[in-house]
Amino acid sequence: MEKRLIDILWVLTSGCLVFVMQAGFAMLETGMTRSKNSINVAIKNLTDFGVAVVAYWAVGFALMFGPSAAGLVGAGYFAFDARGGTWLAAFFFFQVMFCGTAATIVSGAVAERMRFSAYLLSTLLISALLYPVFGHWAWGGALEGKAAGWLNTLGFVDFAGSTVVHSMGGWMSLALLLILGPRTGRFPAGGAPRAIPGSNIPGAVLGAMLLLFGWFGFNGGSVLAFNADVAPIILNTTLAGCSGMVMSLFVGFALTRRWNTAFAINGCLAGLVAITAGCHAVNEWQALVIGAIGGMVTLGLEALLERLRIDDAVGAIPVHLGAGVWGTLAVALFGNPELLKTGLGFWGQLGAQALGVAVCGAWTFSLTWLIMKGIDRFFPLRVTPQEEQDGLNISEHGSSTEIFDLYRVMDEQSRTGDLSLRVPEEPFTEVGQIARHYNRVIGGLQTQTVAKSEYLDILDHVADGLLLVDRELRIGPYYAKATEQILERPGLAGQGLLDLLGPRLLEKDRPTVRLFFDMLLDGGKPLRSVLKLSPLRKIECFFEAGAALRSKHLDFHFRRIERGGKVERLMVLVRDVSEEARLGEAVRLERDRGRSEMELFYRMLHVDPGLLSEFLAGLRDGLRAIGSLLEEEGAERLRERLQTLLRHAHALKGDALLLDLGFIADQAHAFETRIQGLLSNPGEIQPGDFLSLAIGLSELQKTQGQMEALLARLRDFEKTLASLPERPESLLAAALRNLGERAARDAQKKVDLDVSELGAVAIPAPGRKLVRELLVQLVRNAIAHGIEAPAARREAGKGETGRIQVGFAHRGPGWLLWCRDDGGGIRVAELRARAVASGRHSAEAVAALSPAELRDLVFEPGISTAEGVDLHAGRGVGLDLVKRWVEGIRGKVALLTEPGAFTEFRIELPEDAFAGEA
Amino acid sequence: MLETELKAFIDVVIRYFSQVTGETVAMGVPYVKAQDPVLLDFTGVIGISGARRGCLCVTSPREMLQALAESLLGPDGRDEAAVADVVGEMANTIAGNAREAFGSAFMISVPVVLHGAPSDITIKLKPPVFVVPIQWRAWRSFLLIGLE
Repeated sequence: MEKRLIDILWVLTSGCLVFVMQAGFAMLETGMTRSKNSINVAIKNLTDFGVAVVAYWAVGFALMFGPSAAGLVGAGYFAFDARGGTWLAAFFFFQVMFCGTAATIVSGAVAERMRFSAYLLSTLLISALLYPVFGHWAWGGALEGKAAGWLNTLGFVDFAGSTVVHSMGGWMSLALLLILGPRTGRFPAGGAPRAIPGSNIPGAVLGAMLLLFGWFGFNGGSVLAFNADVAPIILNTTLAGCSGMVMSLFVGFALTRRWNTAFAINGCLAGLVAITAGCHAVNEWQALVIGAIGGMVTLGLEALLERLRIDDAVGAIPVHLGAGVWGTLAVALFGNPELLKTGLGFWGQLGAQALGVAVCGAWTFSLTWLIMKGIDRFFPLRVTPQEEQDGLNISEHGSSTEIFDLYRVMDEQSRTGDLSLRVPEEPFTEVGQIARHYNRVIGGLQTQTVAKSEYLDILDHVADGLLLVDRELRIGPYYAKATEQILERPGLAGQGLLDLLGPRLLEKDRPTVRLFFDMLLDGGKPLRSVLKLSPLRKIECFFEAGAALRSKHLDFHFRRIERGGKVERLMVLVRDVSEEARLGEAVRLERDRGRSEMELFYRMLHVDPGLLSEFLAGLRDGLRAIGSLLEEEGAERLRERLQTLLRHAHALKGDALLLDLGFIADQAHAFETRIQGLLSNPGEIQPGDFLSLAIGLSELQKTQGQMEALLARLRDFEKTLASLPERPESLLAAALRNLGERAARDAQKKVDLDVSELGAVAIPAPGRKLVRELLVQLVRNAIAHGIEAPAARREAGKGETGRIQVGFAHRGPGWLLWCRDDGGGIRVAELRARAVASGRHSAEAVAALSPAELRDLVFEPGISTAEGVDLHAGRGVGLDLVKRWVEGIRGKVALLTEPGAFTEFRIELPEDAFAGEA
Repeated sequence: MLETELKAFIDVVIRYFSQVTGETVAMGVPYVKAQDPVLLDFTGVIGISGARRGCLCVTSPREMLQALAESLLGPDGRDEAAVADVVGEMANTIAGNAREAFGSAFMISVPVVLHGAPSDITIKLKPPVFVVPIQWRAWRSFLLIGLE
């Protein structure tokens, strides 16, 4: 069939317009789905065209437009070759675009979940089998300008493909959606359906516009000639698209009170789909009605799908299947029979149309479902949930988008809480600007969060309590963790400090504390003055601890936080100083105890320990007897009991007075007085009257306890002394040296005391005390009277330091003790003068004394050559004592002296002096 | 320990017994125990701190408390739970009265009722412990006051 060049041009142009619909679908579908799948959606719209063209070239065109085999399938033109036929090439070009359109409809419906490879498989199925075979049934013979397919032979009219192209895409989408299932999150279990918003609605609108534009070729080109029919067809197409859009938009608004863009877009497309079948056979009014009803059908079907939980991502089924079915049936309802040229009546035409619709559904849906379901069993059509979550851009194509990268980092950040993450900042894009601002916000947040976290770390680890309170004394949200431990209460935020503290304080302290806080919050009073009045410095607080109260000493410090001259908050530092207070108290108690013990010690010092011990035993028994009398059961014969008590108390007092222990006697006397007071009362004596006696008894018991403790310590001390080493000569030597140094210092002399011969032999214990006392007296005497002052020694040509030697040794039958100094010797003239001055000797008698007799004067009491009395000499007692002690044990004292050279005392002690008590 | 303070403690307890029983409760001759004060079947312990520290105990024989429970609650007072209730109530009332009586320089703890003679009571009682016998009908309770 030869065609005019204009017809060929028009068909080619229309083919190009139909191709633009491919771009329209790409824009529409990417705009109405999420950006994480945008690349997948877009690339499907390109690649399905590629697959469709190749498949249609190889097989499809042959099956559809090859010479018909019984109206069922075409056969011929496999691996299409136009063989130079211009019209044939143009016809193929135009038809292959239709095939691409039928295939690409599916893309939007199954978006965001179907594997790319599975989608290409479905494209292959529709373009190589489903579309060409059904196309042959409806349009077979079109190349030759006759009806060859079995459906068009029966009068089925589908001018440009409401059923052949659009419904077929819709049926296939439905079958695939039933296999694939809804997108994750679209229909939450037990919840209302959740709309998944599109990522680029303006892009979707542009896509709809491109589709509308392409539709002019889709319907206009289907005339397959450029003649008078073309313009009305394009007009009808436009009217139906617009009426569908307007109807859907307004009805949608009436239902949802929103100007929903998807309603406008899909309403427009539904009008276009609906008019496609009968655009050549209706007038303008009819076109408007068909388009408007198409829009309504789409709205209704969208609601139905949602109810059935079938998730069509872009509304392809309501638009292409729903409006396609409606448009096909509308051919019978509105089509001008003269133009339809089928020769059928209304019902016949409607039956033919319905048959075509049903056959398309049965053929496409069943075959798609069977084939794809079978494939799905071995090769899942759907991506994994994780891949769906990540988005098909990444999982299927390894591609990303800026917005996806932004989301990914944000997701990661929300999941890990890692504020150091930053989103990529693509310059010159909106997402890049958002990313830049987001990064700035996160940067600020990170700085603040890190800083806050550091403060909180400090608060968590500081040992003292630190908190802020507002003017109502409510504790702020952040405070040192130690505060909870100190106040023994968790979760302090928002609690009143006074409410927490009040019950822990003595009632008498509470008003003062309240007043103090009022003063703290009154900015008019100087802080320093207010703090001086603080009752909360080392205050004792009480905490429940079982059946007792545990006390803690807490030390509070305060600082005002002022704003605009007004105290806004108080910073409170609280330390637990219980240990410090406890130690202080222990020291105080120990000091008091020591003082009272010392007082007690002085008061009982004059009493012989043996007697004291006896007295205490008596006191103990007496107090025990008093206690037993009080404890006696029953409240009878109280007066008699008091009289017995009085006798006990009197006896105790007598014992104490005998030993001159006045303090005990006083206490016993007071106790006695209390009893006498009760006895002198003529009325009946009550048990309660004994209360004062119980108190008196407790006081006496306390004193007795203290005395016993002291006595026990004294005994311990004696034991310690008795357990000293057997050879205490070294101790004696050390003590003598100390004594010598002290005496020399006091006398302002220099002395070297040689005690080396003292430790040569052990001094028998019985005589140890005597030896000690003799040595003490002799050394003191040698320093005071023997050794000269340093100046005098220099004048005498001696060294400044005098030398004293003491010793003790076993000699013959007894012991010898000696003390020799290298001092000035006995000063005879001075001794004479002192002897006369003592009044015991006349001057004549002294003058008549021989040198030996004169030396003996040093042993007389009251005669001393010392210049004055001090701690060590001058009373004339020392040598007198020495002589008495020695003669007392039948020993001998010899005095050797040489003026200006030395003095030596040699004392012989008999052996038996060391046999008995020294 | 001042006589007036001691008397105030005793009055609180005597008053409680008199009010609750509606009968005359006799105080026995008070005495002093340096150690091991008597502890009967049930002991209510009230910790005292502040101006003086230590504790106050009221220790009673089971039979006396049973009789007290019966006199208060009738036949319902015979079971063990009623005795425990009476002891708890006694300790609470005495603690409450003590708070009122001893002024603002004392802290009085929440009372605890103990069964038997746990040794830690004697730790909380600071010697010398004043023991006041309280005679009701045929039984004797003891008020123990051990404060520093």
